[in-house]
Amino acid sequence: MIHQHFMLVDPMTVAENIALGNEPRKWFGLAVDTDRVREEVAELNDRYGFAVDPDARIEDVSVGVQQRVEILKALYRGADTLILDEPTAVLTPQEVEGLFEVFDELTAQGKTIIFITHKLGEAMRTADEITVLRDGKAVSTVEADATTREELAELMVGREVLLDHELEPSTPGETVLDVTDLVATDARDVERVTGVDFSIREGEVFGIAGVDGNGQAELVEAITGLRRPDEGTVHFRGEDVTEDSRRERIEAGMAYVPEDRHERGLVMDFDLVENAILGSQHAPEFANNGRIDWESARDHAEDVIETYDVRPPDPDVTAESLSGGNQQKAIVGREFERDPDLVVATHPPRGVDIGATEFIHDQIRALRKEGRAILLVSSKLDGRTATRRTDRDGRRGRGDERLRRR
Amino acid sequence: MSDGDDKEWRALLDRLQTATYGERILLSLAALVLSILVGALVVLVSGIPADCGGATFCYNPIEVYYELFFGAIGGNPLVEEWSPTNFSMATTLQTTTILLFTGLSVAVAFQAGMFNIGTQGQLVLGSLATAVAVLYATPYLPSGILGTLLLIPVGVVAGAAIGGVWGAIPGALKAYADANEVITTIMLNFVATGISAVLLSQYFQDETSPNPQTPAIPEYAEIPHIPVVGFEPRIDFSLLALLFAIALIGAVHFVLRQTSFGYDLRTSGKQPEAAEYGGVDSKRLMVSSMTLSGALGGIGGSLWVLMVHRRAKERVAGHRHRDRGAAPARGRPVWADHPVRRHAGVLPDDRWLLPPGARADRRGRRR
Amino acid sequence: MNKGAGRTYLTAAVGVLMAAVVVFGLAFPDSTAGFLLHVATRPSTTERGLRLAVPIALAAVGGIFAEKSGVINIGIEGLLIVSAFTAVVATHLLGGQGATLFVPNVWLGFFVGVLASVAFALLFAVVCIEFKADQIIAGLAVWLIALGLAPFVSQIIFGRRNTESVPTFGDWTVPVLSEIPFVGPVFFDAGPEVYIMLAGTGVGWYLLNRTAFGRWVRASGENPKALDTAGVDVRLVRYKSVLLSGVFAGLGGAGLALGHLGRFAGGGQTDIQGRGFIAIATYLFGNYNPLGALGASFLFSGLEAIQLRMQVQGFAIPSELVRTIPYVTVIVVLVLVGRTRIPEAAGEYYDPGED
Repeated sequence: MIHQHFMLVDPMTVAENIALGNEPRKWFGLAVDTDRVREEVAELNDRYGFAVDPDARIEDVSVGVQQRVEILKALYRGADTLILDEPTAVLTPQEVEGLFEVFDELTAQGKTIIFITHKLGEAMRTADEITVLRDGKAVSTVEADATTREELAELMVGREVLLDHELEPSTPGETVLDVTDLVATDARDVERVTGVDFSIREGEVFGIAGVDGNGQAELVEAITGLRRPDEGTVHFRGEDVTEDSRRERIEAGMAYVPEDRHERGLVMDFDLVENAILGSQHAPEFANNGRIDWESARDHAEDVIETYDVRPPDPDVTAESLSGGNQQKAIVGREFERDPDLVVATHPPRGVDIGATEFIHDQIRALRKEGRAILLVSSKLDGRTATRRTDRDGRRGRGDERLRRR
Repeated sequence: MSDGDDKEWRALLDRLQTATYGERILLSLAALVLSILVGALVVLVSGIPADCGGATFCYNPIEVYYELFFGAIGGNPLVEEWSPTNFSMATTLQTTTILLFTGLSVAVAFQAGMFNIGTQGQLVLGSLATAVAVLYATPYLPSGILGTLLLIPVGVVAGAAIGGVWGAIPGALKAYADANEVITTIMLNFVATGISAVLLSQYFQDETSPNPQTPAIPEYAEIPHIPVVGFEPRIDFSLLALLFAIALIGAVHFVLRQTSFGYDLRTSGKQPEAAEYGGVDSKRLMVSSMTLSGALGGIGGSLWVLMVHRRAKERVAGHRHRDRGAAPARGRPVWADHPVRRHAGVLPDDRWLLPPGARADRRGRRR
Repeated sequence: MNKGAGRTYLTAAVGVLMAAVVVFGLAFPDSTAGFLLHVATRPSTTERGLRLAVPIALAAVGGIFAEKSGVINIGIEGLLIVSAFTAVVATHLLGGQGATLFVPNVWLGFFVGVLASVAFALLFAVVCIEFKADQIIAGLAVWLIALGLAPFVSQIIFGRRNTESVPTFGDWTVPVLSEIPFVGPVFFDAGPEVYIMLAGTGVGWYLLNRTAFGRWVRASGENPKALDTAGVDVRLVRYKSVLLSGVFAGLGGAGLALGHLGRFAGGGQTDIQGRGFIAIATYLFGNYNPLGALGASFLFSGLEAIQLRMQVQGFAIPSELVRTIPYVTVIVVLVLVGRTRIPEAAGEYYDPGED
């Protein structure tokens, strides 16, 4: 089994990772027989046409190589069947092609590969047999040679795929957000956002789609003020806010529905009244000379609860006690009610039921109609619903620039 | 242990982590009862090596707890004549007053998600600053009631300022250099002791005393006693100081619950990521909350001077400077023979470190 | 700041400072630097420096194992206290001088001291690994319990906070080699605890870098999930690592007590005087390398030895201030190498069930 998130120890070498847990010993077990590991890795390298340096450190090699190390790990343990979960999500097109060549080599030598993907083209390119899963059930198994992309798509979605645009045409106004040449690195100093440009105008929904962990988080954090970009600028309503703090950006009218509601979006131990003013604790609506006006905070919390149908409708319960969907509604409500010029939202309908999803989408449409700018980040398949609602689809980066896997 | 058992066990642990306030109180009570039992066991066991004519366990835990409790309040009102303003009661309340400040100090840092183990050092330097400030200000200020009204604030502000600075150091080191505040505060305790010893002996030494201590502050600079309801002036405890401590608890509670700064501070303590999301500058908050925490510890030191010792001395707050060799303990504090200490066996003297409420429920690592 | 840049600066600064003292001291033998040089180069100072390095270096090696496996053991100060105190008490109870069952009592006491430290480490491990306790709070608890327990038990047994004196290890003299000038008396005519320290750090380094277990320890602290999916029990690795930290700290504490102190004073910060915390700074400085930590601990113990000597010579600098130098150095080390890359998963409870 090769996980989507690699199970590798970054500061250790390729050989150390491959042998982890199965180290050959020498000197009565007193030492690891490193020569033997190296030999075996070299042998596997030869047999499958890999060219992985056993002495390189994981943190120094590219994602494509890391994936090969994962495959080598499985082969080293004598695996005959390899299961790969969305392995291409993190690879560049060249690396994907390289991976498929590895697949060919492996199958030619009698290994079985189970390849989990949601990309039709990849399935058609590599598979002999395709099983379609929908809602946790195996819908159908077809021979790859005897099917078409359209048929697969229909099997996946369960109905004919609609491509019509639900949005009424908008008349975009002035530019609200302008991102220029943005470069951002993650906590480990790895460049995740490499020179991104785009701008969003009033009354426009700008969508960013793609698999999680490809730099979306760093991009969004650089825009919302949680991360200082290494290069490039962020302009908001014509002003350069690149150096502005998070608080200044909130006050300037940026709302943000974060990806992680447990860590960021809500303080789990706080009740909904306290959570309703997160980000506005210094704003004049809720604070007077540094003293918080809990009355108006409570009114605000009750408004959000009512409008966004947060259950139970009790402002005194802690965020922790709410279900995931209701937590999400509370966050979306608080952020959308901020009267923002720009809403940055990562997976806004994550974890909420269908009715609430529709409601959130309606709200986004309403915001758009009011002339707000919206930056929507979405990842998984169900996120395509959101993508369909966007006016433009952002391709992050130019040319070979890409957002790299975390 | 089977798999099923293991699951149930884990579920129980998860449950403990998400306990409500009521459950927390129950848990705390359970912990208290358990620690009383453990204490009883320790008393029993420590009675084994003692010689008391045949019996295996020489010490009776119930008797010890009886003494511990009624000793602290100066006798059992049910069986003997008892006045609430007795000496033991005063000593207990005196210690309580200081503990309120140090506890408050640690609590503020804890609310902000940091461990201030450095209250000891903040207290030591705060007491020195108080004594020095009062001694320097005395010649310029009138004596009598007016002097009292002016000198006490001078002392408290000086203690708070120096304590605050000493607390800000680990806050800044954590914010800007990622230095773990637990270790730096412990180290700064050692350093504070050294600095205070040198300053005392080299610059502020009372020439008439062989002990490292400052001259005494004027009597009118001491925190006054309340006549009639208060304790005898002879006893180093003033109800006013206790009331001041209680008022300060109220003030800190107000700041934490009712102000935007308090909101920032609590949010940082509960969930640092959420605080940053909410626009809190976490680095500045680390420094400011540690400054506040240190200032509270410093005020604790002020009270030692203004209420208890009338001077700063090396062994303030019972801090034991390394007594190596056979050197007899100098300047043994009055309360060293207090029943609370006597019966608790040997209480190490650095017990101002942690408040009773330092709970292990830091959040934020949640996934 | 770049990874390790702080460490480089610090090492450079220490080097420059030492070089300055040497040059200046040689040029002006009557100056402070000259005096320092004189003190530092006396074999007795070096010898004492080695002895004083024992608890710091060994505790640091212990701390490395725990932290590398993902459990930050801030309680090694407590482990030093427990082992030092227990070693003295056990030796005393066995009757001090002499032997029991042909084993010298001092060595039995030493062994019991190590055992006590391991028992405390086990308690800490259970609380952290089994009960998901916050590692920092649990570590502080270990320290505070030890800080209270040692003088308490001492009070019961000896009627005061300080224990009675017990015999210490004699020096072990290696024939011939000890005749070498300077190096001989320092390295080949030393207390057994010094040899234990030198061997212990070597064994620690080997264990961590050359054995499968060492790899598991490192993986457990960096990416426990990876280790788990590779079929190794993360909890077991962490248990073993924390117990090892107990063993090493125990060797250090008991070694200090029976090699150098010969008694244990339980007042205030006890005779350990924050050496456990110094050890933490030491291994951060040494970048989690046992040999590096050994080197860094010489820095601290050397300071202490020089300071002791200067005190004896009645030097003018107030001794209280000189005594704070190691603690200030710890802070400086933390500030400069605080951003050291600590193991990714250090401080976190590992839950095998979560994704």
